[in-house]
Amino acid sequence: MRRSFSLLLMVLLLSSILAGCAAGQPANPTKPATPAKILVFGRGADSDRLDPARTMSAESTKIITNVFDTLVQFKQGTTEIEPGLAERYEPSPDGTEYIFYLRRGVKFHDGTPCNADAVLFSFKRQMDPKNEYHRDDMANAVMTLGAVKDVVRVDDYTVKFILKNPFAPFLRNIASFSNAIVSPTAVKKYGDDFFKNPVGTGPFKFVKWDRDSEIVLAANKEYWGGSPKVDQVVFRVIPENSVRLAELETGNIQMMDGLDPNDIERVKKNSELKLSSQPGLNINYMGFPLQVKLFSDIRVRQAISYAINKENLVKYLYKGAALVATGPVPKSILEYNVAGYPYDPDKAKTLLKEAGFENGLKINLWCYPNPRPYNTAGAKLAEAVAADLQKVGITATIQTMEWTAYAARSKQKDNFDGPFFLGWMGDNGDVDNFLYALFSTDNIPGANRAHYSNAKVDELLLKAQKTIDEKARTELYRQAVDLIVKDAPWVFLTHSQDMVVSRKTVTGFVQSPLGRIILREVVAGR
Amino acid sequence: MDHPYLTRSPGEQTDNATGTMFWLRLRRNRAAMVGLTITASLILVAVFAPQIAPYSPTVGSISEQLQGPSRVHFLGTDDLGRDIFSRIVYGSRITLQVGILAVGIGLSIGVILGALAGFFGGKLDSFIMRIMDVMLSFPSILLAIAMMAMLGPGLVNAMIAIGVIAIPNYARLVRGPILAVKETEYVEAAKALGNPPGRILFRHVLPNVFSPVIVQATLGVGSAILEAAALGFLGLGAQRPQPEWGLMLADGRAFLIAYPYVCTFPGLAIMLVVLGFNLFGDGLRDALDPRLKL
Amino acid sequence: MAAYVARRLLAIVPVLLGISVVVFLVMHLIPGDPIVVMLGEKAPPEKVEEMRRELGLNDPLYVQYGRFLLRALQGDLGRSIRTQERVAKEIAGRLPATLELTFSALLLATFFGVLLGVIASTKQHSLWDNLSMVLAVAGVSMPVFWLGLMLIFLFGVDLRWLPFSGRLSTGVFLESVTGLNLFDALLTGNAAAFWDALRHLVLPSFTLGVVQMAIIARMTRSSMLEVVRQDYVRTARAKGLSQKTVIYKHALKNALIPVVTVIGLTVGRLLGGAVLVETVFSWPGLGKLAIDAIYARDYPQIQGVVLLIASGFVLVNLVVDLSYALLDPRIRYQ
Repeated sequence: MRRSFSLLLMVLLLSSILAGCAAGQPANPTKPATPAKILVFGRGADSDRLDPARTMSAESTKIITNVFDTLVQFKQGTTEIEPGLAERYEPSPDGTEYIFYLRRGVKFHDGTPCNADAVLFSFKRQMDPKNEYHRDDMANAVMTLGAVKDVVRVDDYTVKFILKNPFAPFLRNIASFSNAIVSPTAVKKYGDDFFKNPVGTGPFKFVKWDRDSEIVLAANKEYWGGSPKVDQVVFRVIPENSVRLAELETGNIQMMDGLDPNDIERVKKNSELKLSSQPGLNINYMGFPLQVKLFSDIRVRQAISYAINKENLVKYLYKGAALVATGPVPKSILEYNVAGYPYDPDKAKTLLKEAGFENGLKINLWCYPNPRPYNTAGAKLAEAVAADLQKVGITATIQTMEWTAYAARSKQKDNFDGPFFLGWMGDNGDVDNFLYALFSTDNIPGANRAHYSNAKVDELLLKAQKTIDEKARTELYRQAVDLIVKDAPWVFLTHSQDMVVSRKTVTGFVQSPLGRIILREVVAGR
Repeated sequence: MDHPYLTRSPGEQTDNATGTMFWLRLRRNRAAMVGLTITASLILVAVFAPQIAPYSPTVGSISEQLQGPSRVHFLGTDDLGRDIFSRIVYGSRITLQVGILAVGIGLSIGVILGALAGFFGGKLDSFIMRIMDVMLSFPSILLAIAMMAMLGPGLVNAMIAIGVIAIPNYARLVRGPILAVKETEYVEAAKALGNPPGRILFRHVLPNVFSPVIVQATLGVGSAILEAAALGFLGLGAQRPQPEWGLMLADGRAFLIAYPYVCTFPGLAIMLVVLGFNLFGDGLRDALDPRLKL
Repeated sequence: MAAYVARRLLAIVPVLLGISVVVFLVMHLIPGDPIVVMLGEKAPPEKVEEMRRELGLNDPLYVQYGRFLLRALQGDLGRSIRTQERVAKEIAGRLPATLELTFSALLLATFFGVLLGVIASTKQHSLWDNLSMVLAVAGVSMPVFWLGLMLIFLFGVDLRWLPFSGRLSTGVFLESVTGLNLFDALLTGNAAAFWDALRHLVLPSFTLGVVQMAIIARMTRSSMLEVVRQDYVRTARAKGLSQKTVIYKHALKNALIPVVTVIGLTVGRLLGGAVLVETVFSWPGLGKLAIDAIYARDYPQIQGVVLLIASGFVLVNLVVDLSYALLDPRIRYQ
């Protein structure tokens, strides 16, 4: 026994000496000797499933858009449509049929040719519940392919989509990440596990995925759009915002997202770092539960809308990394001019008095605790709003619920008894994806969490879906926005900026308005 | 009908001589006195928070956000422009409340369960102690998180969760000595004299476990504060805009590099207070019973 | 001895069952709909209801528990709702990271804990004693995540001595055999990877181990103080043996027996602490998995992880109890 104890002590001693040496060693002797150009991208959370049809997570989309292609795609840096895997496409004159002519010679990473059969396979598995490769969690199809009646093969490199009726958002839906074309061979081979072994035609090939640690992609040298400029991309998960920034500052990673707004200044002062920032396709709002009597009074809603100082939120809470919202849709996809509700506490007080609350009002304010892409301040937003409301005599008690529970509750009929914070991120750059989803009576229950219902608005939105002419369509949306803003079912707060920080040595990165991280053109110098 | 010599148990001997001895021993222990000072100051700060704090803990002017420590704002301001010093001062009330209530819950339920198990033995004993074993086998923070997820966030629920996970500690602590005490002569005598079990338990048996429980409770306040901070850090404890220290830490950590003081001061406050309770608890143990092992 | 082992083994059966009931019940009492997580925010309600039926989430609770237990006994913990990955496989993938972290934290805690404790006890009431005990108390008084962040910014960012996130640097290649990086590096003779993995371990394992180090130090000190007063130690001294021999050969050996039990408890506490430490240090282990799963209401995953951690803790304690009985025969007859 004595021997075993001294042995134990020896082992302990040895290990601690080793640990001690490690602590005293400043240089890094394991500097990768590989000449390969590796780009490391730091992010806050891991992906869930890397199958385009089976995920909703923004973290999965980051990978998917680099591994897969869609028939048509968004022109770099815009929400305009350009040819993708289809080198050209033709709508029928009445807008109910679309023919796509595929690019020839494109191969999936596993060598399978990308032809009409592959395209059919990718759509059929999503649309047909009886398809062998259909899974119940392919929920995107309902949203993006709801208007599609059928997809048919014309010849080896031509496919035709037949729609139920003219549907203006169709092309943008086809460009949505969930409609990426997958390798039929790989789906058949991996079955349920395809999401762990994604095979597409994109600029990067999937290499490996260590959960909660990293996803490694390698350049697809035969990419039809030209080989990527780096050999390898590593997406690393670093949950703590400050730790991630520290890794970027020390040069262990080259790019990151999820910058805390309070660190913007620090990043700007650092000559080794570069901040890319652009208006994001999102809306950060505070919804009124219209089923609650108090909030069915438009004066109360307008009063609260006037009472919140949105300029201050942008300036201090978001450190300028957001735009004040005057309506529900980001200006980048719909130009419109509404004054909205500028900060005016006196007007708020007058309205409250009219509504019979001159002696003040007590309400609950519901919020989620952690930052979200459209609200980088998390529940601090609720604290800031509560402070503003206090100034017009409204005492707001903040109630937070952890996100999953909160989101589930927000979907219920009697979701909240007071104003609630939520947000929305556009999937495809189409106005319909904001207005129809968020304000149509069809989407109660659903994304219309305020339970807003206005027959005139419904009519305009449905009409817009069937209007192919862009100008006429835009006009319909402007009218709808006017009505919605006047009714004030939400307080329109902000549109947050999408921010990506990189080392100065990284060049060629262009932000996407959809918040996608496209790395094909990126050059990573050391 | 009381027979003073037969029914008085050793634990009840609180006459002046032992009390003075205890105090002398405690006074000699410098660390314990430091602990006592910290603990006493915490209580004073909590009581006189409105007099001490120069600003409101919950309302600030957002345009005065993130100022470093200065003469105007002793420990600086946070990102909503609130005075960090005032928040820490008011936060001491929450900290104290959490510590005392959580320990109160754990102690009262734990002592009762442990006493029942030890005193009645048999099936009841093994049933209770098996449950305690089950509870002990979960990492406490995971159990607390799960309970919080069940109860919903909020300070009161956090106190309940932290209190509940501490139950087995007290139950185990109490059961052992009671098993031993109930076989002793004076308890046998009390039984022989026809005292009902409840009376024996409370008058003669429980006082014997007084010292270890007091020590465990003092140390328990420290760990309860740490656990509350961890829950706050995970966004599950106090509700905004309450100035809870763990929540302040959690808020400040996102921009720790740029504005380190927002996170550093609440962290130091937690450390100091927990240190106080730990030092005091250790001192108490040494003074009450130097052979006690906890 | 055999009877004692059998008794101890039998005693853990109800505990393990109890754990499974608690895990199952708690997870089902948590509000929030896992299907919403699974199908995403924008899924239509009919789809949600269909999925609930399919997964059997509408069955009575006891039916669900029975199913859960039967499958768990066969090693089938279901599929994660978030990732669709088999839970058992996911856990197996994360286990090495957590094992490596907790084991090195345990080593650090034990070694330095015992060292501090011995120093303190041999020089009772000296400066050394006070210093190491103050260090020990400070160790248990710090919020772990706060300590971790402070260490990151001191040693990682300011001094740049040590890496502070992940298990290996990007670009360092290591063939995975067991998943334990240090071990794999030794097996494949990869010195560079060994060094890199070791450096990555320093900060997180210190952060995780520091509380337990403090507890072990205090335990060792009081245990040593008691043993030193025992007759056999006095005899050894009287025989004229040197102070060193007395302390390290006679006293320490016996003083460490109660410390062994503390180490058993330590494993459980380390697993709990790993929850926070893994988040701070981007360490892809079980603790991080547990937190993410709880936040996402991923029932099968939470059940799997918590079940594993709790049963692991029970088993470690069983082993400790048995070895304790082996060291000290008196225990068996209690």
